[in-house]
Amino acid sequence: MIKIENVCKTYGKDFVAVDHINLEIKDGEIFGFLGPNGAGKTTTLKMITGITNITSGEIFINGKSIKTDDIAAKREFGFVPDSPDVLLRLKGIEYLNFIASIYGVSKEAREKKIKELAARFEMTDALNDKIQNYSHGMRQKMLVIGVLLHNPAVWILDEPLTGLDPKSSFTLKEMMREHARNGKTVFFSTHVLEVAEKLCDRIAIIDKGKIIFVGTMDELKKHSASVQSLESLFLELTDHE
Amino acid sequence: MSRMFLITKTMLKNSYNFSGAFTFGKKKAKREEKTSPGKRIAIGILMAFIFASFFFSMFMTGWSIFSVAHQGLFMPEALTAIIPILIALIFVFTMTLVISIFFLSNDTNVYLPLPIKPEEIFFGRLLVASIDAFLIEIAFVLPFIVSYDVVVQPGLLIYLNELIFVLVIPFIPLSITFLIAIIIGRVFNIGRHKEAFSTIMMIFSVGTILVGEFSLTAINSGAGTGETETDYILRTREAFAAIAEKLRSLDFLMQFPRNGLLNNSLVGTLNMLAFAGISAALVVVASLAAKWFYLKTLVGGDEHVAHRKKVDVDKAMKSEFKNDKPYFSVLKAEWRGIVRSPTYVFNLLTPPILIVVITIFSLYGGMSASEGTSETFSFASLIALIAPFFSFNFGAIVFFIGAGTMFIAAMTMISSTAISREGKNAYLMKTWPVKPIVQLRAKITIGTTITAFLLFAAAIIVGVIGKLNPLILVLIFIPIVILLIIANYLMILVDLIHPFIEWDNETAAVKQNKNGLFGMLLCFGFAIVLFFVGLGVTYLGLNIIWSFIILVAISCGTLFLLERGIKKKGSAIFNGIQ
Repeated sequence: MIKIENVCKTYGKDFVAVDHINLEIKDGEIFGFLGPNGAGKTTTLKMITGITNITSGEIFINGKSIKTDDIAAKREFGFVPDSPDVLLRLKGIEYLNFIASIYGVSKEAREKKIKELAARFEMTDALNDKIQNYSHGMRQKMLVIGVLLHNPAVWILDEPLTGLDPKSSFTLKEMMREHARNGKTVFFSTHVLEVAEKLCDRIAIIDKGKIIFVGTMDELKKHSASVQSLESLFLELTDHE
Repeated sequence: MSRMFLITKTMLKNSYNFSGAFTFGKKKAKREEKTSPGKRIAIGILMAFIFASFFFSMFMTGWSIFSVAHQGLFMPEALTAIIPILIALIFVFTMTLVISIFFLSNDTNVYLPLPIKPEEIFFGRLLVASIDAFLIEIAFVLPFIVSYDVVVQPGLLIYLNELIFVLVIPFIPLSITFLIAIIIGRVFNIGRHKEAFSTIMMIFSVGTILVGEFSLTAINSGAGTGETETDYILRTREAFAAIAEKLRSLDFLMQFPRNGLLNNSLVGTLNMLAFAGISAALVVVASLAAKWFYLKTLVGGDEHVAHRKKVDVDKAMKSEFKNDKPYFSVLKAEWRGIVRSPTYVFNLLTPPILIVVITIFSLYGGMSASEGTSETFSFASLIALIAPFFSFNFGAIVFFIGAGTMFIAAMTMISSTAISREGKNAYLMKTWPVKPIVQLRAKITIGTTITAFLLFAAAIIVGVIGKLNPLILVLIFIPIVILLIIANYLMILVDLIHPFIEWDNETAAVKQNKNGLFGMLLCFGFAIVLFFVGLGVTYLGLNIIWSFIILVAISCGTLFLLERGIKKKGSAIFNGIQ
């Protein structure tokens, strides 16, 4: 479970990137985080994962505060960043072993998992190559495998489907559903409204740092019955002028 | 402990400098397939020659100091001065390294969301930084240790103490710099202000180098032409005694390594171990600081705020449309790319500026020495000394200044990195509907102009000192500008053939670019040729006018052929960029 309590992120005196947001993502839930460019999605995700400081408020991952008990909180989640360009000079297999060791995955378990996940994402033959030689999609897959290796209770993914081929995209979506079915949490940001519609139990829309909607897709549609498509609804909600 | 080892191993593998070491077998074999044995041997000999020359010059400096100190029985004073200088040297050369490894590494955001303790990241980074520091030590400290051993032949226990000394030294500057950075990081985020921070560090480094150079010049300033060996020993002894006196405040710390290097007994070794203990204590303090504050200084390093104001598009576009021809567009992009990265500018301009300033300092010192004492030196006496040389060997000046031009051009490396600097998207150049020659011309214009500006400033100083006719200066600049254009073309061609586009930051694009070195060596080659022609004019009586005409003709011809060759190759010139 992720609990975001009155979180605020300001730069300098007058620039508010995230403005007093409150969210609760429950166990067994796939939660989509939507918003236009520069709305505060990645900043929020970075605050949840401890990459960026929280100006005020609190964030708990399975009851552990990212502010005061960061190491324990970090053990609870796996994070896929928006840019897959990480540790590029490591080979795929080296990266996965590094992540497995950091999370204390046993030798037997990691071997089994790496084999299984690499096969599922069709990455087995690329494991011995350096990540810098991978395509964007392959790097993305490697990050996803890294997160799935230690089977964290909470998955946090920033634009996870960007760059993935249709098969890998389908596999990941299936795995997200499976994860949620096992009573665990999936929190991800996306620009693709159709993905949110088909995959998410609930969504939140953020605009100019403020949460302007939280609820199910049906609730969102009811919000404005006159609007024909989901896209028009989104545009209406986030219309700046 | 195994986690710490794993984190360090991962950081090392991911660090560009060491990635080669871990992929040695396969990658090396692949590389060797491509490179001919002759070329490999030539490169190897060249690299060995460069390293050996540097090592030898440092060794000779140490040897001359220790020989005099040994003869004059003032080795303790000499060591009192030299040990802090060596530590200071490592401090200066590792300062930017510490900042970039500990605070500006691109992989920080990978480690932050992982359950890794800050002190674990600290130790990993410390070991990565220490390997670089040891490499710096091989260049600066080892020659001094070897020269000390050659002169003193100190004994078995001192050899052991020297080993401890070499192993321990880097951790002092690394820990101190880290602690200072942590304190600064509490006030403002280093990652977020990396350009400003790097600029300050660069200024500090350059300042320290200049102060060091000035101090060395000052030590030498008392030397007179009729000085006997005894006078020289006495004067040097006094100079070192004066420095030792100034460094008295550091004696509590420096007495341990000094005693370790002087005393071939258990007492000496205990002293050196005490020094190692102090170093270890500093590392412990730094790790404690890391435990409490490191994470807070790392978090949020990549945050950027854009205070966007309403833009008057008409006004903004007006200046953009002033020169919208492809040549000027590439030129503007190149110029903006350079000047908007202060660290890059510093990396490019620091070496030539340092050379000019250090030469002036040395000249000043040498002049004072020849006058007997520094008090009697005056600018007029400098002019009086140099002016006759200029008037006598007027024709040779063209060639000597030409040689200097190539030397400074080699140092600026702007064009030698112009393609590499584009990074992974360099291939986009191929997609532009602009002739390759136009793109290259625009890029080398920047390199040529910046170097020419530096040279012009230097030429004015030389002109004033040598009382040269301004018309002659203008005349000299004709071949110089042509030579500069050729040098920049050659550098950019080397970069085009083997671009280094997989870099993490622009500074790395310059520093880790082997092509920069080749471009530099090429220019050095030109400098040597011009220098020898100058010598020919001076000593072999080569005809000045004809030599000048031939130089200009050859330069113009080479430039013409280069441009024609590039035009003929067309888009194929970009084949090296993939």
